[in-house]
Amino acid sequence: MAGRVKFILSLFLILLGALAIRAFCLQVVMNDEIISHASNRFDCTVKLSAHRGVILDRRGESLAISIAVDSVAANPYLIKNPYFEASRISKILGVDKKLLVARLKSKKYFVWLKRYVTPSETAALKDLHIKGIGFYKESKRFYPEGASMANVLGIVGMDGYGLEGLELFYNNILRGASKQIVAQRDGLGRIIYARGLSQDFPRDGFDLHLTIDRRVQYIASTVLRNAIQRDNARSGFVIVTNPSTGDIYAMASCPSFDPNRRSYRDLIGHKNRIVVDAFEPGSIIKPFIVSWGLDHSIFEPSDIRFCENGKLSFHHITIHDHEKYGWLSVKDIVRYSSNIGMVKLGTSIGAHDLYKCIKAFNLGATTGIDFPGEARGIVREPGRWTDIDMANIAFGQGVAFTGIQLITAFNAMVNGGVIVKPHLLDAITDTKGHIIHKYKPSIIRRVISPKTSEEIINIMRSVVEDGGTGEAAKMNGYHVFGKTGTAQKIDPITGTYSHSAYLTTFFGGLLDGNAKPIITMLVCIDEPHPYYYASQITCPVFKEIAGKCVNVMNVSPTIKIARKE
Amino acid sequence: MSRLKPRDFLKAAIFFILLFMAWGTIHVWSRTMAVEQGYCLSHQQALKEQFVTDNNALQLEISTLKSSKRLESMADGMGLHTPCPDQVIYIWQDE
Repeated sequence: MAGRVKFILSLFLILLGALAIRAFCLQVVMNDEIISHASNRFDCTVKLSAHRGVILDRRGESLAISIAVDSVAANPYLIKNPYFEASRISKILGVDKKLLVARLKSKKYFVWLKRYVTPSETAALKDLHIKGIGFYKESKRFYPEGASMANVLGIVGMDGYGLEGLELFYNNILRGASKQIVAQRDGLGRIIYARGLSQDFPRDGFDLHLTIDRRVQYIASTVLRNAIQRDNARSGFVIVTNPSTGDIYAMASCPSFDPNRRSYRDLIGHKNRIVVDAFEPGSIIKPFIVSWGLDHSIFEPSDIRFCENGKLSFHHITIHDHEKYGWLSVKDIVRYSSNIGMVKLGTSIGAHDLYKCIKAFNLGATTGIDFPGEARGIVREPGRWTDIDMANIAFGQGVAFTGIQLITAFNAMVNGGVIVKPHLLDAITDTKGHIIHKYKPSIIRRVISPKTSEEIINIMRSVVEDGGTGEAAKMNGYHVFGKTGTAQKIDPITGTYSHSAYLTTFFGGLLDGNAKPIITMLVCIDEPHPYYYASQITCPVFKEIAGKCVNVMNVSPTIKIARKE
Repeated sequence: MSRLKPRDFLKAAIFFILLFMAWGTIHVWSRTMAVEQGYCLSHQQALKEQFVTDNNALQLEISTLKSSKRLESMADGMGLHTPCPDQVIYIWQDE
């Protein structure tokens, strides 16, 4: 009996020993090899994509938002009859049949048939039950406001990276951080997160809250587009700002493009002209020079200059005014936009101080706006100026500035005398709405005193009063101030100033009950035909946009108008 | 020193085998639970993605419905226009 028990025990022991040896081999000796086999069979890398943040306007309305849509791809090796299948797919997707045949016959294992298909196209294609056709979720960016915001927001590429505009400038903030994790896959190909998911990743992109008001933006872009069509102009832009904070309420450029179609056929429409295009400002430079002269006590508003009855021979050139003016006060030189008067004021300031004035207002230098591709403009050193150059600069020729530089300098002139950095970003929030960063107005430096600022506003108020060049911008019930500008453009063939191509501008603003500017605007229209004076072209645009803006922005009138009985 | 009896040896062997089985059962059970939780997590993750997509789609729908262009064309269709300046009456505080 004992012998048999011993035998069985020994057998058990031998079997246990064999089991232990085998376990040791599997767990220790062949450990790496087995883990590698298992990993190859079950483990897979899963990319947890971060969702791109939403871009919102100052009132929280969405301007750019990403949603997941299907894209259709095929494995050509699994398609049995490419001609027949291409014909069926072509009818649903609206893709050229020849193109589909070429793709389905290619010697690749993966070809895209169409990116970003609609839900109805996906459903119709699934009903065909074609073997070798697959559907993949991809993120697509939508822009509900379409072309009106396109030049500001820019677009996002197929890979989810911003290519232009704010989408490019704030790409790192918007796109978040994706994470790749190792998960397991079962026999049916389903993902199993058996090792859990980390808490901190992926981090979705942050949301951007802009200073733009989409209602004001729509008004500005619509009025601008209509004006360009009506005046047979080439292009134009409008920028509406808050002069005290540097907030940009609207930034419209025309021509524009539809960002939802992603067409690259006409790249001209992709430009944000306000930031990237520099141009000769013309007469709108005059208030800057006058305010500088007043601030440095070089002249007084009531000082008078003889305007040579509209014609001044200066060295070997002749300078003209559009009217025959005699003696004009400094205020009236701005009011009637006399070039001859400005040449005389510019001469009394001198080349070096004129250059200092331009630089003090930050003209010809980047403003630091949060937008890619800002141009510097052109201002030569005063040592290279001739007397004629100085005379030309006094009425806005021979220097080139961008729209954003001009509105920033204009804001500095009317907000009490300080340069405030213009900006499009108001705040950054996370997906739960917590504020990550809030923009605070950034004052760069003081340029003129508050007293001079008030004086120049009063001078510019006279521009839009009866008889002034900006009379057409006058609004019932509101105190309006501004300055017109009609600049000749350089003819690219002759290299001289053209007599048929003009750039028409108007910058102006509205005052509140305390005589403080609340809205400022710059309107610029390039090459209008046949009329080109600012009073005919840009002043009505200013008036129409401002008239609509005061309604949507709840700006009360400041002048009482007698009610009709 | 007394010798180990075969019966005691058998008892010890059975004890260790039972211990091994218990350990094995717990191991298999815990693995099964981990896989089950993995499936659950995978399902929740897919659900979260779907909710985010649905939420974004709804936000887009709201924005599209409220877009200025659409509202203006609808207003035009109903014969509504922005009032002219002289049609707007402001009530002043002293009135």
